[in-house]
Amino acid sequence: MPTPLHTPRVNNNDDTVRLVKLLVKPGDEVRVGQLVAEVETDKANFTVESDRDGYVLAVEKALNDTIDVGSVLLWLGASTDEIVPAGAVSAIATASNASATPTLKAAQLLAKHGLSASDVPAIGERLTIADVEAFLAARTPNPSNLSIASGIVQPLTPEERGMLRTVSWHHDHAVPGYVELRYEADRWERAAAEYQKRERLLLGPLLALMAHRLARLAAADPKLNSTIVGDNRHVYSAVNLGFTVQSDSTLYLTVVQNAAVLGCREFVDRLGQLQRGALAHTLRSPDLTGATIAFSSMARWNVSRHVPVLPPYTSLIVAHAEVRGGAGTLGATYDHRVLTGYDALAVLRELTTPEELA
Amino acid sequence: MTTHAFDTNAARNDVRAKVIDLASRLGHEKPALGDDDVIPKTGLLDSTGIMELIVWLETRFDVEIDQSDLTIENFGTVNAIVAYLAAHARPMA
Repeated sequence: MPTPLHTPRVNNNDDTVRLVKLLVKPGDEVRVGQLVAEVETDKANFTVESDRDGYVLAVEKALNDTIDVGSVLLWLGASTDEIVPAGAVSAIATASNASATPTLKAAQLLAKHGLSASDVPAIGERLTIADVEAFLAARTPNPSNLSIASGIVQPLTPEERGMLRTVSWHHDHAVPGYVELRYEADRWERAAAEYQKRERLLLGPLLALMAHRLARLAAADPKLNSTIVGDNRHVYSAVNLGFTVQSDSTLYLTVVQNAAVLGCREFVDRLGQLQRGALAHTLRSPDLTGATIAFSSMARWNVSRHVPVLPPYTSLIVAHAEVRGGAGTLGATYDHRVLTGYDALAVLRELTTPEELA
Repeated sequence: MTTHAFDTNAARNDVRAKVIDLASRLGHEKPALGDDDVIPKTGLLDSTGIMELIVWLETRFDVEIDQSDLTIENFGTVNAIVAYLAAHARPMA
């Protein structure tokens, strides 16, 4: 099955990178760990490695493109005969075609505004900063033409741009639905307390155990761990569990890679490391990319209900809320292109009870 | 270069003050904490709050805390935390 290789995050402050070197082409055989591309930001260069053995089926980006972190860089397959799902280019990644190569300053301005070189028409052979500025001037609405009160225009921070992209994907691509159910929380709380005592843990493991259960449910039912590409379902080969962590004013979606194959204690420890990294703002690219399903809790703030936004290219995010009077609420936002409300509800029913904790 | 002994009294005051600060931010009014009170059992801090405390300890005392060291025995009380820090903190130059 074709498998996407996603664009990595180079640092926490840049949601886009520039593709400066492609080391493979369609048809090439690659090995796990082999360098396939080089990307850069204003501050750093970063090599991209293949995460598996296989053959390059398609390269989704063009050299010098400014590309979104987390978007598909290229597709790999077990043989060269495999076909990249139709529509993959437009559905998952913002593809580039024969766009003019940007100058360095133009590339920096493109990155600043989250644009790709292919978004902006060039007057000459190279895409210049003047081209980008003209494009931005034409795109930016003149407040005097809008029926809104006067004010100032402020650029978004990288975190705000990331949020904009997430909610835009949710709005423009997914067809979100939401279900929730009430459950008796005492079984989970007892199980978590016993596990904490047995493992001599400092931190209450309730949310980590629930998230691990979700990852295992997704492994058992691959439909939960998939997205839509063109007219096809793209089933991910691994369950990468996204888990939201609020750190100061930044909301991170930390990612436990290959979560379903981890043992319970391994998962609890790995998630703990990610939470610490988020709180210290020291997370790196693999810690934040490639979520295929997600879990979010706002119980900490005594929130009784929240309807989370789907992270891009996921079909399910579970929402955990406060427990009051022994009863809790579990909700789920799901992509109705992939799952039905019944599917999502079935997951929540399973999640209301802990499995035997190994 | 001279080294200074770890100041347990100052560390104890700092740690206690930090726990109280984090508890206040979680909405506890005038939280009180004894140095042998088991912090998770006091209800002053939730898991994320304790995690915030751990991250702060690493920065404040220049110590790397291994995930496997996060036990009640090591970090359950103010006194336990100070004992752990005294054993693991790097000498001050």
